[in-house]
Amino acid sequence: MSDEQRHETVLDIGHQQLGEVYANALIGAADADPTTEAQAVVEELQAFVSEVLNKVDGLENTLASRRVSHEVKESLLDKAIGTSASKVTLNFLKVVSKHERMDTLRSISAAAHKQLNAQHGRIAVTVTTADAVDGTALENIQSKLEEKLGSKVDIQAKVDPTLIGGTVIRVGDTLYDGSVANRLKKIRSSAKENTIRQIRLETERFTAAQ
Amino acid sequence: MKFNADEIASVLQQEISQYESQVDVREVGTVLEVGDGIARVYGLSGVRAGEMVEFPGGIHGLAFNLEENSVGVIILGDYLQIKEGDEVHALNRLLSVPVGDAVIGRVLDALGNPIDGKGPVNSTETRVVEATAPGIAARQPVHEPLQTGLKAVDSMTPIGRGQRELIIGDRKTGKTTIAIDTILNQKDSGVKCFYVAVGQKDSSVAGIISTLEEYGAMDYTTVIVAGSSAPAPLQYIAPYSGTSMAEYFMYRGEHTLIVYDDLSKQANAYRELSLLMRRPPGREAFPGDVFFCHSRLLERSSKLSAELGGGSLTSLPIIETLEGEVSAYIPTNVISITDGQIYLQPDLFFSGIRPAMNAGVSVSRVGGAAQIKAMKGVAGGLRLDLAAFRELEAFAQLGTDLDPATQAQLDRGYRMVELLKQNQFSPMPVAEQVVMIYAGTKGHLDSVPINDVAQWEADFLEFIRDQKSEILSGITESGDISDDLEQQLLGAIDEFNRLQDGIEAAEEASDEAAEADEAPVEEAVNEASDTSGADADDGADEGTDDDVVADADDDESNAEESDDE
Repeated sequence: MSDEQRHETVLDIGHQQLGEVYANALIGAADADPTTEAQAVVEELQAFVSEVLNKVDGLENTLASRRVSHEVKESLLDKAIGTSASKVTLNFLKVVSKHERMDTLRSISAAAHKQLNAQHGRIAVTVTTADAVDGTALENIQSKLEEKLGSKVDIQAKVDPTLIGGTVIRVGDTLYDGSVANRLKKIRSSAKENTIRQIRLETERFTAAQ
Repeated sequence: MKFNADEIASVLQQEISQYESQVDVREVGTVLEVGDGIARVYGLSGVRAGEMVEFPGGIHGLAFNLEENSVGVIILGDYLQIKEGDEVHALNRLLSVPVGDAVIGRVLDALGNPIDGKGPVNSTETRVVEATAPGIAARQPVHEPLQTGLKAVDSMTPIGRGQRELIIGDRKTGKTTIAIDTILNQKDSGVKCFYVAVGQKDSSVAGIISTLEEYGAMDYTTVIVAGSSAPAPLQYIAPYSGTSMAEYFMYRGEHTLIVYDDLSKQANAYRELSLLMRRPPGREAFPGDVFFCHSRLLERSSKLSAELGGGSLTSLPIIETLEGEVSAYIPTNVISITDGQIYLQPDLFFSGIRPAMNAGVSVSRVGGAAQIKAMKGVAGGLRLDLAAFRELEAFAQLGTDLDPATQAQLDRGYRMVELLKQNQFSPMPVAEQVVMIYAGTKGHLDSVPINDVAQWEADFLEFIRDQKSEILSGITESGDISDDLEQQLLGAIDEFNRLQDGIEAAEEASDEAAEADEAPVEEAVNEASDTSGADADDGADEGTDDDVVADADDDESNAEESDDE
């Protein structure tokens, strides 16, 4: 199952709360270690979820399974990311594995991202466009949004060809929809409503002579 | 009718050229799960309780439960089209239905959409479904009668305009019939009627609509249907929608009547929703606020003060009981909310007493204030007398010796029960009711055999309509029986009885003649009917009448014999 199909936040309150606890611990550990940045650690964790778990079939299930012993998982993690990941991230994954909580890894990653945003006073914003936008356009959007919202933003770019054109910006639960698809939908409904109303009001104008 | 495509295209073109695009800002959420008419939505953090939300495809919903991590939404429409992950957005308004003259005579669903195939509802106004009830200052005491046209109801449990009178009884005891008769009787009275069918079989609703059409009642009636195949949210919302449509007329100073058929089904729909929403179940698994669900609905029935136009909304909620169990949760709730109840009993129904109203248990807390003076005068003690009669009847069945006074009370009771029977779909003007109940309570029927009471009533009413219509119009106009009118009425009864005796004498004579010769029979009958001025049927009925009289006599003598034993 890819990340796209899942909801950003699956409503599993147990997992959510566990995720918050572990995320807290992870950020605390990263802050305590002078050699690493909390930001980098959290990004590594997100990369682990998006690049490793999503792409290697069966790895997530193997790591989450209780039938696979902790030692096996440890050596698996060492072999997979031992060289590329930072020490804090690797240790953290091992600790999670030791506590048999590898199934909450996605919640931990999401919660860590959220906590980091909160710490830095950043607002999470999703920008969806019909075609992929390049870096400068995104930066433009970011600076404009920061100006409007009055705080730093954390932009996540998404591509959805069904929008046809324009941008959809989501801040929290508020959606600023400037997409072509939505405009077409609006034109359609308003034209339909007005036409029906006019037909109802002046029927004779619309009836052809027999 | 053929539409001109060019003209339509030009309008569309104009619309498109005038369209100004704006960035559409909306509050959104994501469907987490959906099923059985409800959805759980993540997001919508600013949504308010009761606010409308929209799913893709234009399906609407109501924010029902606001929880810590999600919003519970009830779906008003086809929930099968909604998928997990769909975007939901808040509409920033409350659920409302079309109101106004355009809804009269229509059959609508719970959202005010037409389902009678007669085209769209051409109304410009809407009204929120969950409006609050008028407050104390906006009301005045109920004082005008709402005539149901049923002798039993109008005499013993009168209903006033603005009252809430519960109709309660087991299945198949004629609950709906009382409501329909009341609607039929509002013809020419200017009362707008609303019939809300909740959880009913679509076949029975179709039957009711065709009855209303047949008697010309659809001209002033709106039917709101959420049948048993409709999703629970629509069944839950339908009574509120109907009330909003009726309230519009009430606030315009008009009189309205609404029938909720029935509220036990609505309570079941509400229970279903609440359980799916995981609200804690209480007694009989109903949620804790099921009382409020009904009280806020019925509280909207009221008689407005003169400053607000004096309009009224009378409601007839219907509750179906199981095995006569009135102490179940929903019946006790609604009994305590309403201003009285009409209790229908299956055993009365099956013994032919229709409407099968139990006079002892049925009450109207508004009482005499909702009766015209004439009715108050003649029917004052009727309810208690009938209740006493029922007790006495049970006692008399033991076969004990009865003193003449008790026997007389029993005889009077039997005749009153007979007199209060009424066929369905035949509501009676109040003046005629007064005349009949006067005749019954003053003992003018005591000499009529029990089985002939119905015939006597029909004949007498015809006589009084044809020959003494000034008595009826006098009662209608003054609303009271003056001494003068009473004398006229007594005279009319005497005259009618003499005529009846005359007919009987003629019949006897003709019977005797028939034994001797066939030919003179017809002459005698013709003479008799000429003199009486009654219709010619009397002549034809004579033989059977005599038989019935003889039978009744036999019965009486049998009864006396058994008494002696």
